[in-house]
Amino acid sequence: MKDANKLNHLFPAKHNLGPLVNKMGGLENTIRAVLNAANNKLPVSGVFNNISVNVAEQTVFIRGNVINGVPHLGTIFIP
Amino acid sequence: MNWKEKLSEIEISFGHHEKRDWRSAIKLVENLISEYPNNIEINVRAIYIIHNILVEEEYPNDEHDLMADLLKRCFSKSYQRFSENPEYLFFIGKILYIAEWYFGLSDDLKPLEKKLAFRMQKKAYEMEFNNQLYEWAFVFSKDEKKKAFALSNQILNGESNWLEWLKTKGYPGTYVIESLEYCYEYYKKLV
Repeated sequence: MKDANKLNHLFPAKHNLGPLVNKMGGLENTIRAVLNAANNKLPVSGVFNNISVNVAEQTVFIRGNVINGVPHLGTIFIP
Repeated sequence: MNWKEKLSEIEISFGHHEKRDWRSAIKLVENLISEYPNNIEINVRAIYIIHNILVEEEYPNDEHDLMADLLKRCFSKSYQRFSENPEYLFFIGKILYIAEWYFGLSDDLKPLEKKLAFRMQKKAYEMEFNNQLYEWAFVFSKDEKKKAFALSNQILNGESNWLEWLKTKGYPGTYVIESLEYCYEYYKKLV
């Protein structure tokens, strides 16, 4: 994922992802890690809401949509 | 209370992933759109509000489909009406990148130039070449980091009135300001 608009949307300060991003070494690495952790937790297709995944000992919530087998994230946050 | 204040009351509670009943907010937005169909700011703010609730806030699962359907209808109708208006193209182009499925689009894997979001931003900029804000949105999407950083710096710290203008635009304005700040802070380290 390289889209600047999407990256900017996923990582505002209010999503509390700063320490995790530092630990993972960047925004794109964090997304990759989140999607890897979500493997087998997402529906085959369609919208998913508040799926919790564990990344580097942090519980992260994700929302999005699986389209043609590809997960698309709408939001990621740590409450 | 006028419509700007009513919309601000909804928008002020955003960003906390709060569980609350959004039905009255959605009803208000629906009513405003039907009362003021030609008002660009109402249509833009309505789309941002519904989109934000769907993507970021907490709501009962059974309300999802109704809101998703409403967002698609709002976008479809307003796009027909305002597709030649640069302000509409600028704001809606920006939000289309996030959860395009709610707008009935499947552009995510297409090249940038083919995405409706980008085509809207490009058109806004072409219609107003001297508008720094529209230029920033265009180059930010093109991932031209140096130029995007310089423009974000001018808009946030320079003497133009764009920042003040954005502050009058409710949540969409705030959303763009946050994006400008992200661009400025993040790209400062890179360029």
